Amino acid sequence: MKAPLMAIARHRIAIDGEGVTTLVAFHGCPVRCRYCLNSFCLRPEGLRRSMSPEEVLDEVKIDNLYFVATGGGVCFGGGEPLLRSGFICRFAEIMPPSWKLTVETSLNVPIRHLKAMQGIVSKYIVDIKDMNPDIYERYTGKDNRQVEDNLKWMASNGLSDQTLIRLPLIPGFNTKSDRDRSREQLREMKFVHFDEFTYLVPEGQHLAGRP
Amino acid sequence: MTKGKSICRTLKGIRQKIADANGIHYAPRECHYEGECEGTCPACEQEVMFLERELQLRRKNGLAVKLAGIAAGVCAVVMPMESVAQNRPKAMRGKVSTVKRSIPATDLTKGKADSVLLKGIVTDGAGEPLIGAVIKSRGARNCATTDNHGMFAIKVSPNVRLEISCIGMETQTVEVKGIRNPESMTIVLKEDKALPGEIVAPVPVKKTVIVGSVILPEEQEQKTVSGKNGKLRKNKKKHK
Repeated sequence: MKAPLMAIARHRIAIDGEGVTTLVAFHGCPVRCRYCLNSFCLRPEGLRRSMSPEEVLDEVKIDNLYFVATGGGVCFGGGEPLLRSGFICRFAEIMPPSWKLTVETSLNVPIRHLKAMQGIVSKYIVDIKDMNPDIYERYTGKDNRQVEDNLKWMASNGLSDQTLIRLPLIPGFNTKSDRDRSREQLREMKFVHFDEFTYLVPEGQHLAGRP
Repeated sequence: MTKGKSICRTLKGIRQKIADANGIHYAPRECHYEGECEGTCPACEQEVMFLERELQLRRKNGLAVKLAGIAAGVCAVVMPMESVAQNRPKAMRGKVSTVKRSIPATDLTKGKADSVLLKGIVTDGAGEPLIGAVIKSRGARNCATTDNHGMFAIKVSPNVRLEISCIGMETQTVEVKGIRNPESMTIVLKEDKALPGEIVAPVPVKKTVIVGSVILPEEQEQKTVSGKNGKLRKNKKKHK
């Protein structure tokens, strides 16, 4: 089993979860964010390597001491890591049990991928963009029904406490009121950990995402 | 201090903790490399391998090895603070950054209603942000740590004394009552001269640039474009 990778980035301290982590970034993503941070994940030149879980383990295990001593491990990002759920499951089987796994996901994936992560992943970092379907579609080009369904499944399966929800303020696409509404909707779903931040876009370079 | 040097210092602190916890004699060599590094280098990697060997030896001899979580608290959960969007249409050419403006406040009051919100930055004497600095009430166990821009946000009881510490720096204490600007604090830690220096990097480390949340080789970001005089030049994008 091999998966297309964009990069493996070591020693990400205080970025992708607790402790020292190594980011394994997959190629390929289901959404098309207008201010995409990793557009390489969509372009052919972004596909740097094709590796098996065993090969990835062989490469990242050099930091085993740091992972174990700090409660860190591996963060799967991308791109969309949950599209590679089989790869992550295999990696979890062969990695040292004391490592922690984090996934950084859009959640816009079929629910079977999410279900496969149960009991494997310690922390979910979910970038929901905005809960408003119109805003979401304008910003990502996709609808967010799958995201909402997956969030509900996570909440009903006791995963809300290990989930950090990103709530960005996206210039030209949503407002603080929109974000407040998203947060309230998520609170009602029993999510409690939020990360609010703002995309800074230079003057004159905003996209007109709002009607 | 550069980000790479800051990572290097944190990793070195973790190695020191592992060595101390297991009775391993470990003295990092002083680093005189002045350029930007990735936070590790061949000399650092050799030290990791040395510790691995020492721990393996102890296991073989039936000795208990202390490793799990012994350096927890050196790092904490925060989000990527700054990244660069590349997939932007023509209308957006130029640098477009997403910068996190706020960080979630860590509640150190154990749910007490009477609390104050403190926000700020922890830096070294040169004004460089300190990543992973630990902030806690004196004598308490729970703590908060600074993110990768040295920023923190905490809720604490108004009657406590804060203790701010960071590997390689002297610990400082601050009385919460005496804080004048609770939401824009700047805490400067002095370098701890008692600690050994940084590791020697005999081989210059290949530079990388940060793209979004991953690091890509720098040469991938170089494009050849025509200069004003018609000559070809390298156009290197700057990334934070």
